[in-house]
Amino acid sequence: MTRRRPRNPYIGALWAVGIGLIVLGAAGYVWASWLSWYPSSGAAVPLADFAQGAGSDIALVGLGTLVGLQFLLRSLRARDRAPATPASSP
Amino acid sequence: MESEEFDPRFDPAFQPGFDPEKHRSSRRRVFRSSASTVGESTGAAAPVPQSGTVANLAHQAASHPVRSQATPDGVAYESSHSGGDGEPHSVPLGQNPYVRALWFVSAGLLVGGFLLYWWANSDVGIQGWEGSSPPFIWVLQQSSWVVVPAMMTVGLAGLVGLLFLYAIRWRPEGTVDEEQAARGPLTRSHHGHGDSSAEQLRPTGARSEPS
Repeated sequence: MTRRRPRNPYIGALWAVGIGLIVLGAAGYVWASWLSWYPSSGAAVPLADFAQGAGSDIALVGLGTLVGLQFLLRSLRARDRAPATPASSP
Repeated sequence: MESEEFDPRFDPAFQPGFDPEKHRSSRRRVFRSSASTVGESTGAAAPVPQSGTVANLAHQAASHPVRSQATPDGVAYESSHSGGDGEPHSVPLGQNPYVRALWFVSAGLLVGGFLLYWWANSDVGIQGWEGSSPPFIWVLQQSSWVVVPAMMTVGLAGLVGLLFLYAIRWRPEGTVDEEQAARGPLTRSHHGHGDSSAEQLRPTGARSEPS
């Protein structure tokens, strides 16, 4: 009877952060671009400027997170499949 | 003289020409000196019961080096700071001062960058200036457009990197104990503490001899 290996909670958090950053960055950039089409003023203007400037960087970090996650998962699988240290040696 | 017949790096019992009756003393002397180089003094002439052979212990100690200190009587014990298996992984990440610094720096860059940008751009009306030098708020605003995205990117990347660090170091509950039990007790407590695992490592009738 095989016992199921517990899930790594940080892997799930990394998935959520990576996808969230991509969506946040892209949505912020789209929102800022849409807002700049119409002349507006107030507190939304600096926020839109910020979203337009940092949106691509935020999305880039999210993309890097997902790419790094693939490397991490592959590394963890290799670690799980690796044979254990020999118990004895001649 | 007899010890010169064998390679001092390995247990004479597993080398050609070893006679248990003839080379008993040399095995004890030679192999104890080689084991002490990896921080595990054995002083054993016979295989250790329950935990495999002495060579096994030395092999495990070499592949999993422990932070040990040799006592005058030749018995090594593991430092209390090194945790159960003696690996750096045993130290919780939260107790690592560099990890704490990373949390602080990353969160500071993220929050500080956003606050700097918000503060510098709150006065939206500045499009130019009168006079010979630009106002400070205008310089800050221009600088923040360049600096803040980089600050926030580095801060975000730092937090994500910390998440990766925690993900790599994470182990299921009880895994470390099972691995340690599978490897067998590598550490030896200081004399007189009455540790049962330490008693298992010590062969019956054999005791470390001062060299």
